[in-house]
Amino acid sequence: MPSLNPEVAQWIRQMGDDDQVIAYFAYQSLLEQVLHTTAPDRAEAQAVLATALGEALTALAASRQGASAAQAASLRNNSFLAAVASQTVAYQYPPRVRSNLARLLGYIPHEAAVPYLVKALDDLEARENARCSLECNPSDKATDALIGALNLVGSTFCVGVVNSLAKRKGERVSAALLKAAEDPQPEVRAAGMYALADMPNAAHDAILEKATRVTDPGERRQAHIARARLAETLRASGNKQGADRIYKSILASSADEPQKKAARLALGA
Amino acid sequence: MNKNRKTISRRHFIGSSAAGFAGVMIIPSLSCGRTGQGNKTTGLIRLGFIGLGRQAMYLLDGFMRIPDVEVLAGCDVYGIKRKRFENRVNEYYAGAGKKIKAASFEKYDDLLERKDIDAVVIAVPDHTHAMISIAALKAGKDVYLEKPMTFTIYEGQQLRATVRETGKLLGVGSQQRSDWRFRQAVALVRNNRIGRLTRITTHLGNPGSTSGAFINPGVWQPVQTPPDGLDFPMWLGPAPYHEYSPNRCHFEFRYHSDHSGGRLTDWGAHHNDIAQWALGMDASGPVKIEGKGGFNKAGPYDYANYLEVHYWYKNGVELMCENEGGNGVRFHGTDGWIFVSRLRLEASNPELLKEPVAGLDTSSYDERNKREEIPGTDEHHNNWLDCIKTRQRPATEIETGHRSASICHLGNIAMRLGRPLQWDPDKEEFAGDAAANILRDKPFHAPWRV
Repeated sequence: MPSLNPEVAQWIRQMGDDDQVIAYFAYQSLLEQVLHTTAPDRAEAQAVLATALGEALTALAASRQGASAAQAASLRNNSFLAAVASQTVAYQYPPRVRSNLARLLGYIPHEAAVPYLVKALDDLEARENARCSLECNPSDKATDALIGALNLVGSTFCVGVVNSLAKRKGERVSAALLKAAEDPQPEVRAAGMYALADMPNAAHDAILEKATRVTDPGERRQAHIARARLAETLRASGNKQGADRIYKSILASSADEPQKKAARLALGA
Repeated sequence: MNKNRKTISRRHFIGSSAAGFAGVMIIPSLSCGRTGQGNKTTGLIRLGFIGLGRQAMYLLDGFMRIPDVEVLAGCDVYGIKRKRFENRVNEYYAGAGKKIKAASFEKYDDLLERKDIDAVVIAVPDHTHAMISIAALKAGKDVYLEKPMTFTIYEGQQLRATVRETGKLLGVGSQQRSDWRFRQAVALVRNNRIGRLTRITTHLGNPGSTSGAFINPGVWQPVQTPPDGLDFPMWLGPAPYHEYSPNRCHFEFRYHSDHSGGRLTDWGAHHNDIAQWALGMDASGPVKIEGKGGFNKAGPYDYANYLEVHYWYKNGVELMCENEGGNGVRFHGTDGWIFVSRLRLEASNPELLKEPVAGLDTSSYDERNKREEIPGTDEHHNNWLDCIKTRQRPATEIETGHRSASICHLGNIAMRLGRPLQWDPDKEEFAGDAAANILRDKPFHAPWRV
């Protein structure tokens, strides 16, 4: 098993230094270490480094915030606040360090990074970087993690998850995105539609076409744009028949002029 | 030395330029004349500007002077810049006796909603190039986009797909393609006037200098509250969160890897673009890359402050990009060399420079050099405006812009990883290197997407 550079632990600590030059130097040193470990023949070293960074990312402080005697006493008469306090996790490292650690894990293509990133999705201060790093990780485990993250709270966060899934392929991804395209939250629905449009699957048009008939004009427009994108995706993948069918449908629809023009150009080509 | 002094015909040059385009490319016009059919209703092209910083003001001054252009609106996340834009446009049109009052917006979506705007000029930090351009294309606008075309290779692919699906036109602000010095240099190389091309070196040092070995690493500034009127979260957009300091924004964004690609995508986007053109690789790229970069870990700028990147093409030609040796492009052939920059054009055999190239005026090298102070800018703008009317592809169109930006991104990736990389220019992926493939893209923070 390859050994870990002993300076890594020090750099992790220093990323939280109040002196921005020291913190920056530590991040850059770790970045260099990470990138040089990513050579294709260094899988074991990648796993070791991912574990070290991941452990630090998710490490908890020695005592839980809210669990101190004083806090417990002050909360004794409020069961709700006491419950919240007992659930509050105090991390060993400050938000800036955790965000950077989550980000660094995104450069490591090894699946050893994934469990830590999944855990960090519950860390409100690091979860956006964790989601971005899952997007970068090419493993199936990362795909599963992103699909699971669609159930987490926060519409903006879920839009990010959908956007991450949009860059992946496969039936499970398609199924998750089809679900997202019918999400109760409009911004998630829109992200789901655009994501489906990037996948060369003609069956996705059914849900997009359905969305062109909703009452909200903004959503209808998004659906028309997504259909034009899907047609181009199909054309680029060699499914000209599928593309032409959508283009003709766009021409016959109430789509805006840019989409109709694109359809005319594509059909004329 | 090749003694065959035939005139390089425009047709020949265009024909040879077309070699890399698999027969589908419409060759960009090399003429600077305005030959378009005109807008169906007014004959005018009405422009909006997205991003109103220093580069945008330079572009604005150029576009406003063109008779059949009207600048109607601008957009920026910084109020001071919006005010400057309004003043400049309104003063210009008042002086020209035109009743045009420019509007300004904080959000680009609001500008794109304007149905009376035909096209937009986008000069924003690199990390929002693709995102805003795609929104503009989808809103039915033609686009003039500053170089480098995109922030990542993935974004370039997405932008290319959007141009194709919307049928709109995108021109990239690589104005050296419209500058006579670079055109003549490329024509000479493509017509084998220095024999068989063996090597190209692009030098990204400061213009006018002979060195540039060490690029300024910047000075740390304390974290500050953003100034009144600047919507800094909107400025960051899809980039990772950062606290505000003045030297992250404005001109210096280009030295932060969360917003730009440093010297390689700044000057490299210009000179490597010329190298790709001379190589006939406008729709392709190298097959192997190796880079050395000196990264200053003390910050605050985190791009390479020393760089040397080697690219090898399938035809055996090597492109070497470095920040030493001044600023320009040097072509090495079996029979001599040519050096070209925005300031000068030189050849191992000076007689070569007297060769007429169809499409370029016939006055002497010295006369032209004296006359033209801003390289190719007017011609480049005019070419884009012409193409809006004729629907031909502009001098630097989407595929060219994508591949030229890709060269720079590939160099940055190779420098960061510090190992040789095999690149498949058709699939646009690295062979057997998952980590390198990750770096083709940079994830967007929610809710943004390309």
